[in-house]
Amino acid sequence: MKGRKWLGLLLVLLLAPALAKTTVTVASWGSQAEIELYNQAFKAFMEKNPDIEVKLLHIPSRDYWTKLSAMFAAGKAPDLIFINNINFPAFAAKGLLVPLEPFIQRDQFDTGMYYQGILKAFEWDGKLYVLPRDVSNLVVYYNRDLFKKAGLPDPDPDWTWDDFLKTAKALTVEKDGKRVQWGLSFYTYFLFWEPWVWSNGGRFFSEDHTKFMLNSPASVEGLQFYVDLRYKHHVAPTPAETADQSAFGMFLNQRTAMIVDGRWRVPTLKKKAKFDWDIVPFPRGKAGSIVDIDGSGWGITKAAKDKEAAWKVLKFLAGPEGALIFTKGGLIIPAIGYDPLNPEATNKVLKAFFQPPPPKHQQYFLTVNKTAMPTETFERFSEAIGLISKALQPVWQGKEDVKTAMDKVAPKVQKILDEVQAQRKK
Amino acid sequence: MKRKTTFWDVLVIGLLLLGGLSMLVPFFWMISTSLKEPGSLFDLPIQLWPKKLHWENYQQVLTIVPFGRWYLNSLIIATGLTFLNLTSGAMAGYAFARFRWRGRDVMFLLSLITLMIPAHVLIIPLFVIMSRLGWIDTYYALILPGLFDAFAIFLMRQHFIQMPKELEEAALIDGAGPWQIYWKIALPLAAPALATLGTFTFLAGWNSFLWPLVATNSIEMRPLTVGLAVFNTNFSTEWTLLMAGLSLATIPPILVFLLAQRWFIRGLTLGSLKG
Repeated sequence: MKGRKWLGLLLVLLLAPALAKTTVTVASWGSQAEIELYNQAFKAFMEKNPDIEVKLLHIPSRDYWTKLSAMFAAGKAPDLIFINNINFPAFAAKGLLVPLEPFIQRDQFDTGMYYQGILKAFEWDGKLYVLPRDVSNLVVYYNRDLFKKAGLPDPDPDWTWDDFLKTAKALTVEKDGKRVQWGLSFYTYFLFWEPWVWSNGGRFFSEDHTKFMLNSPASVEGLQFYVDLRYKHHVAPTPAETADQSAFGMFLNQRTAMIVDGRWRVPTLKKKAKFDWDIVPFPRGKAGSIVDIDGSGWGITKAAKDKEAAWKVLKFLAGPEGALIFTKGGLIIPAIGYDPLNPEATNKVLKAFFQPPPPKHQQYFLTVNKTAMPTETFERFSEAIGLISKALQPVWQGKEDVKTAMDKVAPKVQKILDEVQAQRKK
Repeated sequence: MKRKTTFWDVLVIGLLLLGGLSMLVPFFWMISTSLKEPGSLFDLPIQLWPKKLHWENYQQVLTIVPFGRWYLNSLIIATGLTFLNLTSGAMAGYAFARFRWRGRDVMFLLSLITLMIPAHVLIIPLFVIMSRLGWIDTYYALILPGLFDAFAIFLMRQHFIQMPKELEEAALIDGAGPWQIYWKIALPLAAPALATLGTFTFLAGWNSFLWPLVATNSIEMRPLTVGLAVFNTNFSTEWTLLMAGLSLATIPPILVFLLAQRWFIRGLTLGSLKG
């Protein structure tokens, strides 16, 4: 009997360290390649922190938010969630995330290494809730072969909207009274036309989200300039001319010479483009060259059992070491820029971002971040943008001008904003 | 007795053939895409059939993701759901059709009302229940919520109501109990309805996406539908791998349909779907 007791005690002693191990679950969407990057990052972390086990909860992007909502409702939320700045306000407003300031101040964690635009996008009520992993912005991709054919030099990185229009006109080719090539591909999704509003000095909403501003003169003028590229100057294909090709497909097949698009196109273009291509910043409007800087990162949930362990994981994933792993994957623009306080580690991340060209001028993916601003998202942004996008349908078809469409939808969006204000006061 | 082939016969058969072929086009496109070089899908001019067959798409889909495990999960879920649904649906349907009991019609109406609740509304409460039971990420959560289905009950009830009562009455006179009558007389006669219901249920289980996504946490517990979604991300879709996976995924539903087809078509002509 006595022997057995001792054996039991021995077993407990042996198992104790194993039992004491904390598990941190990280929820994220992502492709198979990204899952593997996560596993690499977790492995590197666990080697340094043997007392913490990190697990990935992979959720397909299609119903990511549905699944997370269900998990939060059941009180079974993961410890860390991957989140983008568009969906962030809805989560932060409900108090589902933990403010990071206490951790940041205690550990003197250097947030100066991130692009300030994206950091600001993850603030709610003046508090930071998410450390960013990546940013996405827009640049102008162009087909250098078609530029040469039209006798055009490479665009000046400081070009204006007028230069842009002239260039696009020179690149639009007619054959037997029918257009066969256009200056640029035309997107209608809101992320792609935000720069036309902002660079002209316009906004979607006032900064405190009290007022709808897409019907203000500056916003209307900017967006109308974009629409005019299609219906007034005919340098972008109409829906009929596009037929069933995607905007990107037309650029890839050399039907259009330019496209305003994001970094995620680089792997495909490298593999598939049969022409010489490069990138240049978005042209300068009245207010400058302002594209969107959106992005994603991780936040600690209120439901996290061991917040200290979760913070450790977060610090690692979003810090230079994690960033290096994800950047090497070649899919993202890291949210970390050069940081004089931590030159060696941040430099490594930057170097990993620069891969063999094309594009020759890939530094523009980073330089545009200085003036870029995040999408003007708030708690009920998805509803508002749904209404706005619907109102713009006739505009994209050339049946209505921007001013009319935005004036029509203004009261509906304003109502959402008013309700949000009332809710916030509570 | 042999009838002459008329112009109309040719026309009708021609039209049917055309319709049938057009149904096959998506399948053809799926298989053709699954054999294309990755990324060449949007090349112009459009390739109907790839010049070089890239069988390695299949090899990849079988190796870079736990495809076999997902396939097994899908089979377990779909057959489990089918079995439970046939059992509960037939029994409940029979009870509603043949027995008289207090509150029967109210109960039937209530069960029909559940058909009007959109599935999305149920996701969160169902998830809460399943996680309290500790069933998240297990087959229980994937199968048991489908145990009761108003459509199955409705379909079986309609079928039993239409069956001539005399057969069962004869059995009753011969001394059979209600269970014996159900098991030996009514159920075998309901084979066409069961085959119909079975095919529907199998397909629904095989195709289900949202609930399995919400109810599973580990990659290993996913069915094919959810698993293959990894090839479809925000900004890009790996069409060739996705289509290779889907080509393999369409085999079981087609087999089930072929097996049940004999009964299925008879069931339709018998009017078991009427009402």
